Amino acid sequence: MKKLFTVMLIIFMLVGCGTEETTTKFKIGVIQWAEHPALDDAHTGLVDGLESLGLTEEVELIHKLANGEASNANMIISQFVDEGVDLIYAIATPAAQTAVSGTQDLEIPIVFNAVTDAVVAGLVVSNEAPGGRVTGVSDMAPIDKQLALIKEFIPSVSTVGVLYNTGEDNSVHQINLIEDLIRNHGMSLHVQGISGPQEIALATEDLVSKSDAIYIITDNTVADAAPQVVGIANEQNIPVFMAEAGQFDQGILASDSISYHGLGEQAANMVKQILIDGISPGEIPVEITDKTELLVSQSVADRLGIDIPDSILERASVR
Amino acid sequence: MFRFIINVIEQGSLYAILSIGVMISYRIVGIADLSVDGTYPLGAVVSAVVILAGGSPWLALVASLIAGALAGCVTGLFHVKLKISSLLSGILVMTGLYSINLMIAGGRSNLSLLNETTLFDTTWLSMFENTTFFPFIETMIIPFYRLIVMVLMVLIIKWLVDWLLNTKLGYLLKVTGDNESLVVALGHDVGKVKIIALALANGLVALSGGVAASVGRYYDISLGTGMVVMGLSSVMLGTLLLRKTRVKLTTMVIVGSIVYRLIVAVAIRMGMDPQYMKLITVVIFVIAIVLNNASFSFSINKKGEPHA
Repeated sequence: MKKLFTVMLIIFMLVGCGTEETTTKFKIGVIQWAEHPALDDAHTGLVDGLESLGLTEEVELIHKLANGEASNANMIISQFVDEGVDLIYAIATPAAQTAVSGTQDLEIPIVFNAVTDAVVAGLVVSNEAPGGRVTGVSDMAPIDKQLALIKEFIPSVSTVGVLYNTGEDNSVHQINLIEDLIRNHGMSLHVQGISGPQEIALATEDLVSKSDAIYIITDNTVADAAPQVVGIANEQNIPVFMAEAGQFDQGILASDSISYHGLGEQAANMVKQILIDGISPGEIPVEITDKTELLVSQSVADRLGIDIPDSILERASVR
Repeated sequence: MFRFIINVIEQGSLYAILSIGVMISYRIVGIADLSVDGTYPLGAVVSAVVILAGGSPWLALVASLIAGALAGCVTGLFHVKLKISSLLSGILVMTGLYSINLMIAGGRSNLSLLNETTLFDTTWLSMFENTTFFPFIETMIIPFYRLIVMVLMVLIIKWLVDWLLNTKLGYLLKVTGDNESLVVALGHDVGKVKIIALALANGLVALSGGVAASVGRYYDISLGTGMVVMGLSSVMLGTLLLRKTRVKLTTMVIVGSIVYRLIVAVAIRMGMDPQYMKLITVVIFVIAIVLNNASFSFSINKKGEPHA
């Protein structure tokens, strides 16, 4: 028992050292759900955004990673509350949900990033008027724009194949949207659900045999396996389009993608509105981005024997 | 600082329920049950679905408990009736539960309870509004309501498990862990006892998951990640820290769970890179096992420690 108390005492002393107060600056607690290139970009985007707004001296960022575990996230939020942060910047859906539930009776504003549908996630009442103390930027890919790109690139495409992990809420949401939108572009959709990375090879083989083009959505499992999907598809001369640019060089034909870094900069603007201009988060609509970057690969097009239309070449950056 | 301690106790209590479950399967019956990584989110999703359907959060907890117990029965049946090793049975059930959890949530991997009534709803306390002790409720109970509910819940569960372990069934569970052939000699079915133990253990784990849905106010398919090791570490840590005392095993586990949370919380607070978190968990775990083994083998010779 005595040993236990000694251990506790040492631990509390360590905690005491870790929390020295510094005042006058705005404190922002940044909680990032996991380490992932897109989520890292969401963080650096905020840092760079605050810098370009000239706020680097005004704010102090406390950046914490939850490592994908709910219990860690809870601890991080309670630490933020303890340290009296003026705002919480939450990256990814579970991080934002923890931030909201962990500060329920408090008035700490929350700005989220990398949340696809904030209404379904229960974070805001509506995207236009969030109400409450939560707002942020949605990483909803401009699906309509991307479907239009496929048709513009290869007018003969009639069936688009999409692979998705049925265990990712964001993916299910995107599939529903694609189903609604694809008819407007004169194409049909063939979806193949998977439950883990080990099914990707077989699912892609099947998908390739039934579609004219593959479209990789913002799905963590499928995006990580993009090289594998591209390898199988290109063997059968099927082009692959992708919603994110992170894996572009793995043989993607074209991608009209959002940038998490850019979203982070948009979020930095919201942070300024809340902390400096004193606008209530509930009055700042949830933003999606319409800024996309169109990337086209000449070498992949040559290999697949596809001519890049001039209308696309004019606005794309060719790699 | 004050809030920090409250949070550690809250989180520690939440995982103490899970750890008591793990204690039953691992420490008492001697089965390392890996289905925990699946039954914890199972409890969370069942509670979330019941709450979203308008059910009482307490009813939801009962549903979580039953669902977890059923899953535990499946692990037990795989192991006992189909003669699959206990480790593999756990892995199979955990893997299968991934799909089942998705199905229960209607194909969704994340459910939000941010706008729902949870276990920690304090609106019912307002019925005391006109009584003289309302100021007391307002200042002393409502701000700490979650903590109070969590601690009471853990104490009640601890008391029930202590009671159970002193019944005939409880002794059978302990004997199964120590010496299976003795159970047979006593004319009991070892398999049945194991199934009951796994059902009980996973029921508690799922109950803990159900509480977690109320604490975090959301369900996510990934909630179960690392729960087996966390539960086992809490059990190890508790028995290591209090091995020289005469407190009950359940008390050790609760203390272990809170101390484990404290270590994690301090690590996060000191800005330790969470990349190392899992590795540190394993290190704590192994050190605890080594020290426990040393002390228990020593104490067996001296006193015949029953839980060795």
